[in-house]
Amino acid sequence: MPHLPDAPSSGILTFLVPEAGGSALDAFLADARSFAGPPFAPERIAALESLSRILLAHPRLKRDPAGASLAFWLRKASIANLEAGYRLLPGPGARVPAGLVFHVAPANVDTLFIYSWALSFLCGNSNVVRLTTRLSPQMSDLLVCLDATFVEHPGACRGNAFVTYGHDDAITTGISLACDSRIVWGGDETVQRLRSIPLAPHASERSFASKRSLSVIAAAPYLKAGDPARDQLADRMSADLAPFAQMACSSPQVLYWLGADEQCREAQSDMGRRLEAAMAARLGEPDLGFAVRRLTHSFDRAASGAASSVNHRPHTTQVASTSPSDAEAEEACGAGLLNNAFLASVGELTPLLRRNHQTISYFGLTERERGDLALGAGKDGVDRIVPIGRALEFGPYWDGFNLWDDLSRLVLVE
Amino acid sequence: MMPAATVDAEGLLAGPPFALRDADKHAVLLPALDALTRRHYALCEPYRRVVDAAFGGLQREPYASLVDLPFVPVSLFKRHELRSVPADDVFRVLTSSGTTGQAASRVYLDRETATLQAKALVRIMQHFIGKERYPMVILDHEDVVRDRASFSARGAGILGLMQFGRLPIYALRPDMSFDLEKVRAYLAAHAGKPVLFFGFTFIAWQHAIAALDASGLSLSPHGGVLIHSGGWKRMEASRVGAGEFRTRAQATLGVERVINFYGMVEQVGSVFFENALGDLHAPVFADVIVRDPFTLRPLGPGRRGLLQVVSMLPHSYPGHSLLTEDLGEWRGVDDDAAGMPGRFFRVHGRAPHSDIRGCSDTYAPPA
Repeated sequence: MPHLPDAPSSGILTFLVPEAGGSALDAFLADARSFAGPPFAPERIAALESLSRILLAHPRLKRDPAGASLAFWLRKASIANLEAGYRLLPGPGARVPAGLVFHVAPANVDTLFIYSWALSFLCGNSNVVRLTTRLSPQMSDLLVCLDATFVEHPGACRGNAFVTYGHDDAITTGISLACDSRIVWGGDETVQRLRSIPLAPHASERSFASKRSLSVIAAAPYLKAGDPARDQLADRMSADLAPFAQMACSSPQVLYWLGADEQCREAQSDMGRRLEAAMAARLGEPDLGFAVRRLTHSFDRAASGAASSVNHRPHTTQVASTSPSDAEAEEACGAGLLNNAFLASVGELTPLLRRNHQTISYFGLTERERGDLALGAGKDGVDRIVPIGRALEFGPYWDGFNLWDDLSRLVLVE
Repeated sequence: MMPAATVDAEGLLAGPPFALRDADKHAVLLPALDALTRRHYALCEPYRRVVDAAFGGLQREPYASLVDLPFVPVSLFKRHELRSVPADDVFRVLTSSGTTGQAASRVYLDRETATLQAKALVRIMQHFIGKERYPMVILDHEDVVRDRASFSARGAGILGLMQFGRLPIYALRPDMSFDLEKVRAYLAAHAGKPVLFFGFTFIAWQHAIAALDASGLSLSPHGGVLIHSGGWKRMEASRVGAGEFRTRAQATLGVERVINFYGMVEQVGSVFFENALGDLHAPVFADVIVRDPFTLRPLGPGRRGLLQVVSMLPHSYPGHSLLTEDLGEWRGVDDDAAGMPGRFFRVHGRAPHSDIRGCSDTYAPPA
């Protein structure tokens, strides 16, 4: 059981997993790289398999959708898929680990630090993962599972550590100068601040800054679909909205309806009802704090003139935007709130997109429309276009970057 | 039933504040709130937008029940300039910072509304302490009310209550320490007279009651009353219940009665004082509704939800019907045991704020 500090003050670094003395950072950094090994080593795959099993045995995580998704992603067959993708990467030569990778984990998606670490671990790297000092209960549960994994697989896990410390540039500089690759999961401010902290001359950095996501549903195909298909779509959408209080960068905050206004209105109203039912099925008892947050946000939108209607329900609040151009709120609400807007065609969406848009999850778009969207939207910043229900599926291609490349080096052999 | 046209806030304010049974009160209150809803709809654009978006616009026919009236979340006063009078008519702006780091509410008062608030408070206070003005000790320090054009909720509360005392003094120094010599001298000078104490619940507790208790001291005025108000949030953290607060206030301050009231800067004047049951009681010019936070439907007695407070006092800003972030339940109406007719309720604290973190900054230092 790792020791979880209440509120470590800055300047103090604590090893969360594996447990070790707080002064051991220098010793750890000095030889961490020597434990790097070949990519997809059987003992590393076995360690992740154990982690998957331990997560599924955890009383809370096994029932938590994000915990269950993570366990699913770490199981043997899924890792075999990842490896197959890795082996297909082009390049005349050998892929070797980057060396020591420094991950700065985000605070909004509790499971992400494990995905980031696991990809790097599979590449054969040694890793130091810095977590926020405000550990959520879910993060603490995940650390307990990681610790058990480290105990079962001490050899495979050597050179890997999960640490926490406050806003201390000296510690960050120490790790940054020791690492070969730095992976920073934003906010924009974190990314900017980390960028000002030097890396070793040969090291590289990949930053994931703040992003926003949206959904697009074509009204005509939606209205043509029968009850089971509509319910299924609502269920998939709830999978994109429910985890992490809808605050993952990939969870949509705005839902754009494509079609004639009349059709859009009918489809939106129908989907609003079904989505509430799907969220209720997924989340159970509604959350009071979330409800108050949605009320505050939606009435605020109305008072500003950005919302023409507000429909508050136990798990969701549907807001109709006055116009598509102000459907996206300056500050995302999350917690089950969707801003809705109507567009005549996909073409009207692209002028609304910006560099910080990440995922468009869709329903009812033709292949041609998706292609047009990829070209038009991609130029303005969108990174992913995926079916509704898969917005939160994490993979090695993220925010438009190929993480395999960031986590390994290619030794050219001719 | 009285015809709506003959009663207004003025008329109701002239009478006793706890005299009407619920049905009789609503015959007066409902038309007044209906008129306020239409007034603010016509004069305050952000309010009109909210009514249009969240309530489908104004109802054409008069509202048939208090629960049908539109309402706005109190948080709206933090983000929008909500007023129904020209800026020139604003003569005082009340502010409340709420929790540290959050935006402050801004409440725009014209002379009419400020007068109505003052009159309402006089009616309620006189009901509880009589018409005589007693020596008064404010359990706070004077710096809180320095700037008289723009008041914090704390300052507004103190100034509102101060008029009910004679030669009031502040018991605390600016560093919040209790000025025992000053208070003792004051009480000695007014020996034999009942004394009125007023303070915000947590400040009264922490810096007066508990501070005196810790030094083994007590004051001994001749009878008197402590009136206190303010959130119980910080009190809950110190695990002090209403009963313990009362007995220890009686022991240290030497007061006979301890009366809590519930009010907010967005509805100054129409405050809810404790009745004989220890519940908070609605005066004739205000009322309380409890709503399910998930469906917004009104709840019956004994069921917990978000408190909505209505008041016929706010004319210069659309604060006559507010959905608070406080949880509570209404417990009865026109019950003889309460000592007065009307509806009464309890507050169960603030709804928890969800700790939702956006694409959040884990490393950037707090701004």
